[in-house]
Amino acid sequence: MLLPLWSGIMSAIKTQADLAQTLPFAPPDNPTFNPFIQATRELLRPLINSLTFTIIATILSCLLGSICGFVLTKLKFRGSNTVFFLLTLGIFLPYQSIIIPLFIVIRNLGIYDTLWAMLLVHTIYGIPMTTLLFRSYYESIPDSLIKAAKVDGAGVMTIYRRLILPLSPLPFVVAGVFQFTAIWNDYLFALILTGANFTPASFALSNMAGSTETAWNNVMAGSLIYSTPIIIIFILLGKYLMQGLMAGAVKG
Amino acid sequence: MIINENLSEINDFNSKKKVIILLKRFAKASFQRDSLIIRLIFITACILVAYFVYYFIIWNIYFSFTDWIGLIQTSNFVGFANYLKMLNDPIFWKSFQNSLIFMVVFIPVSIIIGLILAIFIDQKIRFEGSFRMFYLLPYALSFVVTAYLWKWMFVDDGVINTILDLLGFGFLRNAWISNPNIALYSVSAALIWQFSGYIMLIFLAAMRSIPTSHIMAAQVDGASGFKLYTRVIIPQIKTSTFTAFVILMVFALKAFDFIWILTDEGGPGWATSILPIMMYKVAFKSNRFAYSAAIATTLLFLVMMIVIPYLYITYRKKS
Amino acid sequence: MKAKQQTALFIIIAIVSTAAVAVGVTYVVLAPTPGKEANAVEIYHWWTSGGEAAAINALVDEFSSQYPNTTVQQVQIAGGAGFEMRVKIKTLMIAGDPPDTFQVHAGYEWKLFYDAGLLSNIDNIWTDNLKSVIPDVIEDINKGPDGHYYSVPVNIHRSNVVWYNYAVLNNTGIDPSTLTTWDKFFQACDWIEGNGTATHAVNIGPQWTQAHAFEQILASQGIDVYQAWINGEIDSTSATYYSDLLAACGIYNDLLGYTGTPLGSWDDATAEIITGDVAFNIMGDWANGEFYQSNYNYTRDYGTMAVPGTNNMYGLVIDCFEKPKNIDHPTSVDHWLSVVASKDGQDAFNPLKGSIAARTDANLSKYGAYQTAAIQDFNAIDASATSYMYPSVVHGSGAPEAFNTDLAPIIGELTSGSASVSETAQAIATLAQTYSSDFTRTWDLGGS
Repeated sequence: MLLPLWSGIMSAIKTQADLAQTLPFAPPDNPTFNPFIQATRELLRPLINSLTFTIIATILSCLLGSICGFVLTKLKFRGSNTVFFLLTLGIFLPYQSIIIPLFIVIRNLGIYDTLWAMLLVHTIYGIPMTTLLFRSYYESIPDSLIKAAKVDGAGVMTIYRRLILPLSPLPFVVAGVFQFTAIWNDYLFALILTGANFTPASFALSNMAGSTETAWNNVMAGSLIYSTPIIIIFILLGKYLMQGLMAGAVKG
Repeated sequence: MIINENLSEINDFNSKKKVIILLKRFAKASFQRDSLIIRLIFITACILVAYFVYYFIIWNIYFSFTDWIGLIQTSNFVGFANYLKMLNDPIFWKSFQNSLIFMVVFIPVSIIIGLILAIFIDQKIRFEGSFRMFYLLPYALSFVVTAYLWKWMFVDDGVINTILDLLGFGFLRNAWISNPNIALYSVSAALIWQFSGYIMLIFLAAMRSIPTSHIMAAQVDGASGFKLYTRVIIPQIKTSTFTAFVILMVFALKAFDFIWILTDEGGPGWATSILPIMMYKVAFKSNRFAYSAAIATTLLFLVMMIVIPYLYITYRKKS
Repeated sequence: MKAKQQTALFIIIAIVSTAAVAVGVTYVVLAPTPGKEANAVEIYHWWTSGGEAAAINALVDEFSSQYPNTTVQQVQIAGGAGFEMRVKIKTLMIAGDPPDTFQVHAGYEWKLFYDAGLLSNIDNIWTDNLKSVIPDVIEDINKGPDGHYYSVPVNIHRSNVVWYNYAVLNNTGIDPSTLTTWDKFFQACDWIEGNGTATHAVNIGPQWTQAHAFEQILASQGIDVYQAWINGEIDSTSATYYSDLLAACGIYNDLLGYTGTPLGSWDDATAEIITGDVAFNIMGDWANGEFYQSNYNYTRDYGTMAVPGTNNMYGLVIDCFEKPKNIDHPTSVDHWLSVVASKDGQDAFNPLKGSIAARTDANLSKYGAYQTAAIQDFNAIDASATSYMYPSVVHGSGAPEAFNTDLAPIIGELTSGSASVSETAQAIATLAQTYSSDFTRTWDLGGS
């Protein structure tokens, strides 16, 4: 299970010659950090770009998912189940089939090849999934709590801010981790909706792998660098992820 | 351009319609002034999703009835010609079959392995935290990274065959992704590896949240070990299975990137070509956009066929 | 974790995220955005690494030295031998936002843009001077069916090359120059596998390399066979030359008998030649870069020969640039195209790229050992009436994209054993039938 990762790490510290001559999982003859330097040079700007829109889009889509989940469970109206069905189906949209109209819309909005394109698109496409996760969680909040708050004279906004939100850090973690992973690793939108001015990390990494020649040591180093934010998040939030799942974010 | 004209027409019509429907619904529900903000946000979110998801689906459906080939956007209506072509296309059926096999293998096996792993870790072993991290790690890596890793592992003298040799199972050597008969299963195995960690987490959490009183009651009644799990714990986590199912379905569809890189665009031949792959190739390689739209619509329809009943059954009980 | 630590953790995460976002947004917003200025040119290509990146940069430098006031913006999109880039280009074109210029393979690969009326003709770039230094077949490839010029070539790669490792062959005493027919080649392979140091005589890579090998085999059946094939004429089992198509599939199948399992990428296959694990490999001459990087010496450590049966042929893989309509910087693109076509431009680009210039007046001294030999072959073939050049199908030039797309999996099925030789030949013929409406040009390669 760890062998491929180990070989990847080994490759990342080899020189070009080493790469050709040693076994993939054998340590290098002349270890060097050159691949990392090279990779950083190529990935620095894209990484910052990706971090920016990934973090913002994750937070936004989680917030929106929380609100939608709240409305769909606690502010029931006729057809709220239908709306929920429709939202959930949005999770399964195959993105390859919509890149053409999406591109046209983004271009018409004038945000092609900017931060805002990635931000908008990822936030919107994240809403169905986050709504599902939050809804599952909010279902298990007893209605009696809400009723009690209403009796005390609280309005909807207050209920949301004072009651629901404080109970939500765990589903935020679950949804947040899921969204962050999905947005960070997305390649298709990065390809279509950006150009020379704004380059996301997933796209930059793919370019490093190149067309006819591939410097595998650099690519491996780049992959490791690229995977670092996600790994950090998993290490830091792993426990809360667990708690969040236990607390019923996914109880359906 | 013809597309842009149609776009703005349908655009206006659609968003207006959606807004009116929602406003009407809200008017019927109880209304409080400060809830305006919340409901407004909700409506905006819904409109945005409606536009970016459903309008684009309608776009696809529209063009699936035309004969759009290449970059000239004709709007010649050809009725169901593309769908007929699809039904007669052996490549479509092969891709369809592959999609089905893939889902049937990937989803249940991931669930089972996730379940087993969860049970294993539930035994209060030491270093549980590290084990958890260990299993979650594959999920954290991007598809592109893991695809290259696995490609390298499946190669003839790659890691898997070498280890089989070392363990004395050399006769099991195979050309994992070059062998058309098992390529799809090799791909499934790689993806199962990547996702079972996440599924394990879901089940572990579910198990941990069963009130201990239930378990103790069962133990008092004499259940232990195997029976404890099968009779008591597993039935209690049925609802988590739904979310696991949804998440796996999502990844089964999104696994496009992975399969594309790992098997060289659906090879060998069409052995691992699943519907999204066929759709992408037909659109951007063969330049048959109308045909691709027809396949996309069919794919969506198939997904609906699977998900709607599931949703219906699960949420019927709630309301 | 205790409550205090929890809070601390969340605060840290919040601060880091906010900081990242703030820095990121500032960084992004403050970044300079060229693009729409008057004197700029936006070039899309997929030469993103190593020697190819050096080559395009050299060409850009040459351009900048001639037109110092024009900003060059390179947009690189790697993946799938230009496939991902073409996805982007097609999307841009459909949306009505064409890129200034982009790299494609000459011939059918830009045909769909031509069909949609999205390319300007560049007859003005094709001066008489230029026409006199570019061989006729290549000129033809850069023309549209209406007879006007739509692209200008920057290089020529040769597709019908067999690479071998000298050490391996020396041990076996086989002289590669005698392997001019498939029978002799297979005999040599038999000998190598029986007695030599190589585990397999030949190797094969992913599907496109299989199709690549196949098309060279088809060419070896005769230039008129190949010509009929790319004209879409072999479209049924009763077509003329169908038997040659069938024979080619058979030879490919025989070739498979000497290979191991297909490798994951084409450069893995070349690597096996370098390490001496395999004797022969059929690949276009972009493979030369791999040998160069391993410090191998042409004719000392490694060598090349034409694919058996194609000694008098040059298989063409041509990268070119073109000029779409309604672009932002038409004059700049004109300048770019003329630099691309110029002697200086091509002699700056090709030595680094590993290909040869499309012009017959290249400055030989700038090129490496393999390329010099290739140029000599090229000029000889151009000059002779019984030697031919043919555009590659697998690399997008010779046949419609839709045809090429399905060709690779068909060959892939033959390789993996899912289809028989006759089924494969039939499938290829049916393919020409299915996409017959796409075959809109009639090639004349000089055959009978």
